Amino acid sequence: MRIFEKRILWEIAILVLLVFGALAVGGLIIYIGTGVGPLTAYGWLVKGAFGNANAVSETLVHACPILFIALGFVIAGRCNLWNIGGDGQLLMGGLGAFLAGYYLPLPAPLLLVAVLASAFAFGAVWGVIAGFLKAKLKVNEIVTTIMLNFIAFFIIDWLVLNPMRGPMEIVGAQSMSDLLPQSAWLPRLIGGYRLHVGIFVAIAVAILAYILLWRTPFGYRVRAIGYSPKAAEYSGMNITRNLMLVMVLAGGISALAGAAEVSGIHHALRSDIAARGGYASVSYMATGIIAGMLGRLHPLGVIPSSIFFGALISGGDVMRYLGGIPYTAVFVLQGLVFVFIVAGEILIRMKVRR
Amino acid sequence: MIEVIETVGATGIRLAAPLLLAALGELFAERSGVLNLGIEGMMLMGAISGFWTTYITRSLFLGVLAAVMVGGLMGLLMAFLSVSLRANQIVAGLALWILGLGLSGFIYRAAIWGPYAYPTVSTFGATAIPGLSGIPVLGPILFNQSILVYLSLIAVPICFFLLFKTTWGLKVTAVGENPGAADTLGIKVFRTRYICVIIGGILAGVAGAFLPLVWMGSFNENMTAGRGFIAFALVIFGAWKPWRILAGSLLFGCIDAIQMRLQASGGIWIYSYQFLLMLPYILTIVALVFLSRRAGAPAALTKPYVRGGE
Repeated sequence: MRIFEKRILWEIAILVLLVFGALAVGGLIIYIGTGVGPLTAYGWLVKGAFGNANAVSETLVHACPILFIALGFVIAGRCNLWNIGGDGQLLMGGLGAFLAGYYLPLPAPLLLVAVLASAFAFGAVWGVIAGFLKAKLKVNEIVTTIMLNFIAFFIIDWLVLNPMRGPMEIVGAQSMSDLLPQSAWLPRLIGGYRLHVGIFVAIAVAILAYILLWRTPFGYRVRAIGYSPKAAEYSGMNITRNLMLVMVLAGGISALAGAAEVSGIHHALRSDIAARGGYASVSYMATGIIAGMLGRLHPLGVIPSSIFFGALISGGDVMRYLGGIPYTAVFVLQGLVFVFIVAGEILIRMKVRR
Repeated sequence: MIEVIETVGATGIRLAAPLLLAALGELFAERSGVLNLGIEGMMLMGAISGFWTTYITRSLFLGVLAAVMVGGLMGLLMAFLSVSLRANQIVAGLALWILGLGLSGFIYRAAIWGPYAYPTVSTFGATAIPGLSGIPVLGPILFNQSILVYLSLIAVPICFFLLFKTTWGLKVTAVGENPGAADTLGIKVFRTRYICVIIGGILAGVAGAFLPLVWMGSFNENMTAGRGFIAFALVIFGAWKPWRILAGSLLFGCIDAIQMRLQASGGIWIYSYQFLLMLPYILTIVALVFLSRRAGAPAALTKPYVRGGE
């Protein structure tokens, strides 16, 4: 079987080792910061991630937006575009999902399709702004996508505080929109748990993205441009068109994370959907980017890595209320994993060259 | 009217100073051929270490010193990843950003934050320069600022001199343009890049410390709010030249000051202040659209150097 080529096994082994290295350093930092021993802390973390049905449900609930954003990062990354706009695309997707779910008079199954399509369209528009500026004017897409995150946040924040603010008896003091009708809610899988169908949509999109990138002429062009734009251009490929198409796809797929949050979790539009746990400090986007890197910029590789980071987040919740460990500890762990895999890249390269 | 110009100008310079410092730091790194996308994270680490140190010792000087050291360490890590390990510079920068974001928030929560008190420190006060601060309009704008603002402004000619008028600056340019040729001439490519990236980290750290120690007197998670990336854009906007970076930062500072002034004026802005807050981010994109096709980027930017070639 191709998937078990020696090279891939070697890569996976190194990545697992690097993640453990990061967790070891992170455990030390948690110990210094809070006085809780690493084994105790990580015991809580594992319990909170996989300990019971609700823990598993929460792990997958968090993995869902991470996976969408990681896919949006990976597709652009394969074309050598750095899509750091996951937050803005997620927020715009949330807006698109809400508008479709709230205003379209459609029966439930069709309405859900419309919700996802509308989210995709809103995110695609937000993504293609950066794609257009990059392709036509050579404006650095890292800067534009990051700036668009802030702009999207302020737009949504204004909307949910002013024209789209829900009725007082529902939203109270919170800044959020009215609730979506039940027919626009993504179905939950097991009664009492938050797990909704979004994660399966995300996995399906990951498989589709793999087929698109590795089994179609378009995907071949995307990767060719990513590998060497000059060579691709000499061979007659339309760089501008392809860059913009890639950002349409990347923005649209990241935006499905917004649909998952609005239609699957909150059932309303809020401005804090991109950042979980009520802390604005690290967003699903940051996690999605790391998941993309840990998944080796591969649409299938990001499935396990997103579930890993989903587990880290739901486990982090339990570390907080059982051990009083600040929620931000999870962000430290994420950052360390990122630095470790960047540093460990040299090990992987050494092996591949042989 | 004059009073409005004075306050907006003075606030503008105060808002421009950290952008300027961070952008000058980025300039060093980039001219040596290393794209440092981690400034945001370095600024956050500078902010938390500056705030924490000042909170404990009650000394602003020690706070800035801590920011210098921690910023320098972040720069060292960036240099290690991108120069020694030859990691992709964009990825390494993103990693430092997210590490700084997480670590600064964790330190704040674990070491400083308490549920019943909102920790604050007293900030750098204004130091009027005798004689000059009395000049109408210019005096209050330029010569009645905090020491850190003066330092950031003085940093511009110093950077210009170092990078363009000294042999060392010439070596940095050579390393950033053609590291192979520079190596042949006996210039230490790795050492030059390490030094430049560490200088970048130090300046980003001080820029970060600016936020709690000059502006706010307190720390918030993710308090830089994208300023590191605006500084990054300013280097492109400024075509890799210190004086143009100064002009760019002042433009941003003043726009920011004007939007703050408008917010305070009330009226329709009470309900739509969000449109004022998004101005600097829109301006960043617009500025790059109009100016980013100009050449000026070091030729070897983002390219790791391997001795003997690959």
